[in-house]
Amino acid sequence: MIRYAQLHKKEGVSLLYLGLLLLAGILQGVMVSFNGQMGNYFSLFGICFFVHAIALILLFAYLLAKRQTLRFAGAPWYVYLVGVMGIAIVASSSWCTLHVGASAFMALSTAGQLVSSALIDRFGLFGMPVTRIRRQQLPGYALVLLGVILVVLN
Amino acid sequence: MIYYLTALINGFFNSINRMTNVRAGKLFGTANGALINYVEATVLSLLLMLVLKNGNELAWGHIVSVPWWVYLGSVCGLLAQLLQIVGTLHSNTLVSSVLMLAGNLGMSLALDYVFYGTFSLLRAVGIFLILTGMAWVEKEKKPEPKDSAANGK
Repeated sequence: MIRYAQLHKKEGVSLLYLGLLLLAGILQGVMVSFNGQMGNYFSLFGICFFVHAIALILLFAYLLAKRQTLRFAGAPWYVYLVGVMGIAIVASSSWCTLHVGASAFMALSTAGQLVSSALIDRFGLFGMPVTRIRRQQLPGYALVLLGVILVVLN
Repeated sequence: MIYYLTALINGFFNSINRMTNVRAGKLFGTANGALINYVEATVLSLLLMLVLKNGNELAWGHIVSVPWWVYLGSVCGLLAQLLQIVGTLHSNTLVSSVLMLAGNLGMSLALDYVFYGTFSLLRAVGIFLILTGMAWVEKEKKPEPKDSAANGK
């Protein structure tokens, strides 16, 4: 009985985490759309500034509440490029969303992500295990391509 | 065409950015790692705004004239990042990427209807195909044993 209860409790917790992931995706969709709408009021770098500054204030408040010490030193050089990439990503996503809509943007962006993820896996970059593209994966890539074409052309 | 190409390049760098963020998170802790991104991006975008003479957007009058909900995108982004970390730690890559993508693309489709009044059944089918394709690619992904990878086999 105890095992049964534990099993169901575990399933409940797993479902909760799955729900959190779905919610994270929904929030990302909202973020892309809202940032795109920001383009009606701000320049591209204005959007980047407000998007990052608001999150920075919230994050600072969290770190202060947790009394965590700030640490930035001793990382590989490319880690410090993360802010530059962040600006490029927010600016380009807002610009594209405003012109082609959120779903077309997200579909194309997903395709781009799939390509870079495959390269990261293939060469084991960022300490990831080396994972070659397998023949069995090709129908999956084809489905993504077909899906992207359908979203963009409609 | 330029928008489509930019969106593709955006996605390409998105994965690289995510991996870099993960690396920063491993080195400095999740919040500290995310802080590097936000501090750098805030300072750089402020400088670029000023160089491009868009500093007038920082005027209080302009800031409050913008609908308040537009600013919520940033809060949503931060929440999504935290939820993604928690959820991914308690599931696997396949489940986390497909679920996040389902939420993301589904919401984008809904918000396109809200903001632009556009909805197409074929577009929804396209999103379903992307999700199925992603699930397929992730399901068939198999890391190589360390020694065979090292030998290039």
